[in-house]
Amino acid sequence: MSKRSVVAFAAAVAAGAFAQDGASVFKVYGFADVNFSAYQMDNSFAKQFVGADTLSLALSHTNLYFDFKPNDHIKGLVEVGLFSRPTYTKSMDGSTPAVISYQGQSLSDAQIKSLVTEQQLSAKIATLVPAGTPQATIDALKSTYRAAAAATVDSLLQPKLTALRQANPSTALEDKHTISIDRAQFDLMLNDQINLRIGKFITPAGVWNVDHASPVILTVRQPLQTTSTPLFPESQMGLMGFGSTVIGDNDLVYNGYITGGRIDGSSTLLDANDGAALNNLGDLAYGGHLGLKLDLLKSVQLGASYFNGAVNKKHNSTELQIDLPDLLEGKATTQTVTSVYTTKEREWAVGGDAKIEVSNLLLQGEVNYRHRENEIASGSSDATGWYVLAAWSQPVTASVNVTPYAMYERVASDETGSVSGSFNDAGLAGFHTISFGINTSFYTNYHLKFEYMNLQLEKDAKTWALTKISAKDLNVGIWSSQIAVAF
Amino acid sequence: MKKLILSITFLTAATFAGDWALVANPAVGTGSVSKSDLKRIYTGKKSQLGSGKVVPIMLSESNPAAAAFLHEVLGMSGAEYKKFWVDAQIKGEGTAPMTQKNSAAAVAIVSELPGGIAVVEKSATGSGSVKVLEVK
Repeated sequence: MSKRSVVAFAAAVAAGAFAQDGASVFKVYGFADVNFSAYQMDNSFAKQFVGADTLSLALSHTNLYFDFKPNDHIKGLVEVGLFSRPTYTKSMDGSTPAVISYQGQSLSDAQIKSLVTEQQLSAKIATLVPAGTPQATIDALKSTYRAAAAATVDSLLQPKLTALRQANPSTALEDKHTISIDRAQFDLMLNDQINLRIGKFITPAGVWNVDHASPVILTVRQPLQTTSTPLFPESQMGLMGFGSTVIGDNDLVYNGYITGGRIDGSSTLLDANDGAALNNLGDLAYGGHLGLKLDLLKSVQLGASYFNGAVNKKHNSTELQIDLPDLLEGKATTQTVTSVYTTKEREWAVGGDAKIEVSNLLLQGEVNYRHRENEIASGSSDATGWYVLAAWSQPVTASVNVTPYAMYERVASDETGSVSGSFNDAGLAGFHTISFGINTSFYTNYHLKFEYMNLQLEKDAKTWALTKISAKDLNVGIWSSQIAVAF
Repeated sequence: MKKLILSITFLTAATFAGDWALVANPAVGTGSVSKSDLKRIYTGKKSQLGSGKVVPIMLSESNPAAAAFLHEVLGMSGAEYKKFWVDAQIKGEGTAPMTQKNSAAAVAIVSELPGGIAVVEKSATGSGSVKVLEVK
């Protein structure tokens, strides 16, 4: 056997081994996490924002990645997630009324009116009869005046009760387990400087909007401005150009995109409203991220993000036009279907991010601002959010690493009129959080996290002008632990 | 004490002696590569050398030559390098370079793979029809 044949044979064997090593053109991998949380709240007020239960144990994510690379120029990545997310449903029409309690008992409107009527009657009769009047006489007098008193109480109290219930709709919490496609992106890789991506992708904004998977996130909870109240869209569907270039010893990483607009909340597979309603090219969204990786210290990354897009939602309004004579003769009716905007707004967001590593120390922060303008009714909002994170990574053994961390986050919103995603509608003007925790990683892929977060809500003064809410009601302590696994 | 210092010096030298080399398929159109570009290639930030595509190949992290390369060029330990790629994969930024258990297998693949480059033990550079790239 010639030397060349031996080499070819060895190469073939090695190539086979390489395929078995998992570097084949099709790979499946993923991550999962289990979360346990205990909430400390003095009052039920905060439950509408953080959770219904005092304790919560959930398999929060199981995400699978399907990675397909048939050659050096084409790559496809689909991330499918099974996730659990609490969903609040509100009853605004009073059909599931808010509870009004009296001396610990929840009362219906009829019970409240009856109670007030009896109190009014007792007070009125006490002014009519002398002390010591027999109870039978008092009861007879009450019977005489009851109907008139009830009518008066009804006319005075019912409008107030109705307004009160409508202003304070009840909420119900449902745990929603669902399947989502977090991203389905297909890349045409031309060279290091210019590449194209088409499909649904995670918005390249800041640091932690892209790093959304629990094994790569240091904390149990990401900054809320990237999850619960996302100032930038979580993901979008459209076309993106991306690449990088070298400037001296530094790297400039860039991307820009044109999309259908904001997609938040890991929309479900069957969600027909996945994406914004597009009527013309003016409804398209655009934006991008510019990142600079400096050859300083252990690592220095600086970035800037921009997004501009429409927030449109429509529903179909169906109208049947029935002419009575035609109907009697059995003729067909006319059905008119019109699309009506329920939301038509334009928003833009800008942000800056920094991630600095010096030896074992990590410092990370982002600042984001979003402006949203209602185009069919008067209203606008300005939301500002920022956070800073400090962490120290300490190797304990070759396979165990311990990272204590602390994070502070602040989000505030200033709103006028009507605008979607309103903080004021939720009764809030903003919030701030402070978190402390420790993240222990085992054998690279396993992470065990313990965290305490203190959430301080800031009530919107206008919404709660007539409701007594103390400082304690606005404060929540959350103890959390998480096991996250990359596989 | 002197003995201890000598022992530590010897151990350090044995671990990070730089006993690694970079070999490439003869079709790769360059004879040298900078450390910073090499770092970019092995962290998925760069896929070209000159105008041609490169396909990086790595030895398993337990190999002393791989450990020395990771320390010297990437500033990472084997565990950090593994974590780097687990994180990058989950972020959707790419997958790790293919790994070979020994230098002979890596050299054999590189010799047949257009654009292939591999980190191998220095002693293995004489085998196969590959060229050795100078790392500047």
